[in-house]
Amino acid sequence: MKLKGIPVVRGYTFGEVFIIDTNEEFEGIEVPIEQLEALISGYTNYLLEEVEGMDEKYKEYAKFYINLLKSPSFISSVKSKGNNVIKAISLVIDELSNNMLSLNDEHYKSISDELKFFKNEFLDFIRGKIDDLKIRENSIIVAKNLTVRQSLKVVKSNIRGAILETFALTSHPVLILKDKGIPTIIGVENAVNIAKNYKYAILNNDEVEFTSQALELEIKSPNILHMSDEIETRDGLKVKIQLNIDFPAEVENVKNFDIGLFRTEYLYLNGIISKSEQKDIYEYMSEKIYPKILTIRLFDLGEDKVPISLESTSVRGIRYLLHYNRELLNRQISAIKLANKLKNIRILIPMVSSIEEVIQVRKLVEDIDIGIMVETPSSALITDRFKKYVQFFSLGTNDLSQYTLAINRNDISFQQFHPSIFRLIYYSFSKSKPKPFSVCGDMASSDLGLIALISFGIRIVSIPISYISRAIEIIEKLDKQTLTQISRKIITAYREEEILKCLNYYLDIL
Amino acid sequence: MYFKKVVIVNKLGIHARPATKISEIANKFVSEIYIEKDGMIANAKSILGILMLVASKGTELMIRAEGPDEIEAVESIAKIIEEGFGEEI
Repeated sequence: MKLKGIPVVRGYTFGEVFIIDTNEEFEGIEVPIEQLEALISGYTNYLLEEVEGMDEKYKEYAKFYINLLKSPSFISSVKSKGNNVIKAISLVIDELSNNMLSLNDEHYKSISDELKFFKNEFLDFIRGKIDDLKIRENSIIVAKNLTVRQSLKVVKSNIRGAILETFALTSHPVLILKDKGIPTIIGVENAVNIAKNYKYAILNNDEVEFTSQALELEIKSPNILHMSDEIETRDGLKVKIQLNIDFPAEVENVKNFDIGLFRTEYLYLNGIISKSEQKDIYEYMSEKIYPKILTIRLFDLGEDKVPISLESTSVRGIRYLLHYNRELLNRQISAIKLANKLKNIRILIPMVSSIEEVIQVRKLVEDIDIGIMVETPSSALITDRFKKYVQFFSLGTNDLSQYTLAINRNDISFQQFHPSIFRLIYYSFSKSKPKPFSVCGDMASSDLGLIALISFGIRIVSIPISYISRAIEIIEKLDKQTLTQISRKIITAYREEEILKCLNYYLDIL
Repeated sequence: MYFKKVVIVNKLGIHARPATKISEIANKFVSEIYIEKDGMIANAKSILGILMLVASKGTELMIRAEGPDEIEAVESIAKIIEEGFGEEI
């Protein structure tokens, strides 16, 4: 579920949703008006406690409310509205809020919105039901709007981001979040109700995505942050796991893994194409995972991946960049160069089919490792020729299969495990030595495919975060003897059927 | 009685923060202090009153005080308004 909003502090982040909801039901509660002054001074102390030791600026924000409550005209207005404090305060603040709204001025609108939340908080205080707000660390808070007290709690709680429904750009709570540099989106309509159905939120500049799945692994294996990226089979063969990611913020949870594939199309589709924006993102990712490696794949645009804003072209990947959008290529490479302060970034070139394409990219960047996606039959067949020009290889199984079989991968007769695919993979891998060779395609993140690839001797696989636990489970059960039997069967097979039968058999008995 | 005319110079006019500052200063004095705009009168010690004057940039205000520290009171409030509350002009 994706929603748009107005970014106050731009950024990428994700985390568990933490909803701060407001109580708006105060019917049937009565508190005598005689207690008004005592309640005001009680709330004042409460608010002052919250700003204790904080920046002078924030104390001033709190004083606005304190002075408002203590102002003689406020007290006399409340007293003139009957005998029940709850009702009287409600009426006075609503009236004030509406008056401000009618002034049709942005700043008064902001205060007007803020006042409503302040009212609810003050009424909660009066009823002794104020929520002490134990905000979960590393969460993303979702609220209609906050009060000054709540936003101070929020900024003290080490949260990752904030999603607000309010449009009150200049309200105190929004200013506090902004001042603290917390990634914040406002004006996200109906966010609180929607967030109730989801577990996580991903913040991306002006967009929020709510999801329940993306990070489930974090819960299943809480140790993922500390997990080793090198997994051993039963008899000690080492397989290295790298990660495929789409969202920059995914690096937050996986500091021990190399990023084997960062698909930058996602940035493109979100309009993040300027040099400085790209640089900030790459730099942030590189710093987060250092000393692990960040493999940035150049924009793979064109053909079926063409975003509507681009002219339709018959080529894709590096061909598109070189021949149709040189400027985009130059900008991306400059951004990568600027971001590579820690020297842990590599560049991966998509849809390569000839040496010349690599040479052209090499001309643009001298001191960064370059690798190619082996995803066209042409590049698989001349893998050895590329060795002189690249530092690593990464094989993409989806495109390689569909271009080899000359059939769309959504077609019913598409055979992911066709013997020809395995011959090409095996051939390319054996010709790539001694350069690092990984498989980042879908085959590596399917149980059968993973077993087949490891049986060929491939020792680096790049997979999505969601598949890590399962991959480890499988790798740890394998051994040399089983792997040899599997590879022999695959290489000698005539049909896909035989390969599938063999792989399924071994998967069952693992 | 002492009074002085001032013009609001800061870009955003008297919104929440300036109103807080004015009432903070006003409350330090014993004199009665009022701010007037086009016939509307607000008690300078009441943030609510100040806010409801809705005084934007360029608005002329009259600050009036009566009491033992009236001169100092008016001058202090006039000064902070003329300085634009330390905000963007």
